[in-house]
Amino acid sequence: MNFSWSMIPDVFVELFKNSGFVNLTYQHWIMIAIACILIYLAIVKQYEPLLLLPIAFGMLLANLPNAGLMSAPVYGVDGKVKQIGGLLWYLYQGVQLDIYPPLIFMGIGAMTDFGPLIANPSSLLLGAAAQLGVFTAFIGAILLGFTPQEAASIGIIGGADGPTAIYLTSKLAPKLLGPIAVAAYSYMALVPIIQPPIMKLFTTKEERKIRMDTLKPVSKTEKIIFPIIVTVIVSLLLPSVAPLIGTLMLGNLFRESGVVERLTDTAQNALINIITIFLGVTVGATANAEVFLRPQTIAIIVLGLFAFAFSTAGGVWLGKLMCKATHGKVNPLIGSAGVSAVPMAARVSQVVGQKEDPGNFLLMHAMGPNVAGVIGTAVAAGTLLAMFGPK
Amino acid sequence: MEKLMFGIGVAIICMAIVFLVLIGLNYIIKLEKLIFRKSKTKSNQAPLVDEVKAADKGKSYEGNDEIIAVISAAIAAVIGRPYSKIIVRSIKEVGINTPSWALAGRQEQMNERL
Repeated sequence: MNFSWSMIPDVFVELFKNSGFVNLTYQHWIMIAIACILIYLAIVKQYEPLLLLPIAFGMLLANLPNAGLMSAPVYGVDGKVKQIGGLLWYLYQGVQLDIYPPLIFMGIGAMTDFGPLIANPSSLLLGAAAQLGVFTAFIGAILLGFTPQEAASIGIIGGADGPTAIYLTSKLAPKLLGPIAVAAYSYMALVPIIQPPIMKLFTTKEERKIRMDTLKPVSKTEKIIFPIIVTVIVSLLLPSVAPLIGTLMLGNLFRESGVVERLTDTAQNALINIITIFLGVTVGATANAEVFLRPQTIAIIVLGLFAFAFSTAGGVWLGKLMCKATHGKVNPLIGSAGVSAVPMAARVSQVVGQKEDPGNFLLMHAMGPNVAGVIGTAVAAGTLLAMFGPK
Repeated sequence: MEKLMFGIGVAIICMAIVFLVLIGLNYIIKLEKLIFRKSKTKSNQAPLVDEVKAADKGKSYEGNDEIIAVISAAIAAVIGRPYSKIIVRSIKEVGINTPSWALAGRQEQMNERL
């Protein structure tokens, strides 16, 4: 127990040997750099910061060697825990067991007004057309040699719905969860950049200037019955997405019933915020260097962009068709809001429309296809799960 | 070629299912609107009569201590006297005959002061 000054260098050498610096590889440095770029985009450019910031920080944490934040617990032969797991590993169980995406959906439901959709039910068709990218990306992924399960998970990026993408991928291709979640949320954040050129490419100036009639008011009873009907019908048709649709509509029923203000408040604020932190950080943490830095990640990111672009185009194309069928009563720009990035895609329709005609207000008209897109993506995910899911 | 055909086949089937489900929902919402609009037009006339009756009767605040306390406190705050030094003898409801623009202006002024 004698202290000697000569021990000090040994202590520092031992400290260095146990530190993460020894095990840092160039792959870790690349991932740390990517995480820092995403943090920059979230803070400085404010691209979907609520999600991008926790995802990017999770990515940073997962690529620090020896920290063991995502390590699974180690059990002895006797079944007792020899070494407890990392904090993020435990939180990640909410992703792996599909607990977080439905809870996020409950919050989304509590925040969403389905009024514009009920006022104009034809918006549902635009929500369906905007799933085109999901299936075109599916074809692309199959051609690139991905399995049908992986291709389905990659395709769903085109739905622009983060929780649904995570829900489907964790069931069909859990190994791809990191790249797919990062691609899905990054593209959702980039909606204002990706969509406008595609919208302008497929519409004429005259079409973009079309002013739509004011939406008819929707009664409270209609708004209350809507979530119940959708839950029953969609869950009976596609039982695999019952957790998503059920919680989405439960949140919405909280909101529309007007009798459970405290629950509505919790669902749309505290609950969704807590789950977003857990989901974001743990999904980011799945993107470790070994999984992320592979050629297939680049393929996923390119296919994701392809899916997103085709979904936008699909909505606009059907919007144009509806414009023709109604003799110019529908502005095709609202079709692009059929991708479900709520409410950003609807805002993009509004902004692009107002650039041609500053007095044109498309926001509420675009909210119809926008919320229809959420249902559409869930239905698409349910169909893919029914075809390729575990039997 | 086999892969392409598989991909296209799956895409067509899935897209068709998505459209069918959402078209189905579209018609269900339309049906719901039809039902509720009919029942709404039927039930719309009855409450109007009730409203007229309620207006004729006028509102009595006797026994409603909470409202009396709130109105008294508001008067005390506006005239700048302590609550104990004012006596409220009666409260009468005045119908709203003011134009809505004047009301909006008044509301704005109140909000500014607060």
